[in-house]
Amino acid sequence: MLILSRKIGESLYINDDIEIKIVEVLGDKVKIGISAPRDVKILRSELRQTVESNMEAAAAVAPVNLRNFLSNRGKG
Amino acid sequence: MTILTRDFGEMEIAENDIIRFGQQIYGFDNYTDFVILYDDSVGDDFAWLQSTQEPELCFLLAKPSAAADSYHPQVPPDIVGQLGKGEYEFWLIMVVPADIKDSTVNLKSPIVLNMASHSAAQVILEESYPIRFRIFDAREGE
Repeated sequence: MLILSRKIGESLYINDDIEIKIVEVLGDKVKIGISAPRDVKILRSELRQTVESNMEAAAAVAPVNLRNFLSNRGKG
Repeated sequence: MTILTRDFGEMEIAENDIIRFGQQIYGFDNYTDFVILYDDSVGDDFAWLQSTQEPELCFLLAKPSAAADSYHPQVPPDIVGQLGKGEYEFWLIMVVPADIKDSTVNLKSPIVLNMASHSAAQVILEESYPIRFRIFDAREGE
């Protein structure tokens, strides 16, 4: 991972057409401005991880398997 | 009405049982209508969130109390506006791999239900909870 330092108001470019700007710093929160073409997908990492986790979650688990697991565990 | 479920075959549900997601379950944008199904044999810590629009779409949910002793999520104001006033129920989406003991629950992005208004949303919380919390690991003191 490339690590850079920027001051408030400074920016950096990714390729020719994506600009990332540090807009504001408030406590431990950094406000970041992003200029990019419409087809560039920008996603908070927790949102992307949630989508991934949701997709895995949608795979089937038969109730009987969960039932067996819980009773073998000595609970429920 | 009768719906076809992924894990329980055909089931009879009432219109009133249907929960509507105003904001989608992330990654499943087109599916808004679900019902919650219980199975007594697994107890009330677990439930199934079954789509009424797609029989194969179903999530296993776990109650936060089954994962953590203390869980106090802050629901953002725009979601409160969407869900309406009332008692909110929180459920966690569960990922179950081949070995069930490695199951994880998503504490960071719970499902929030307002049963009174039949509405729901998946919320990504500001607090830094884990997205993959191992629900079946023994907790301290057990």
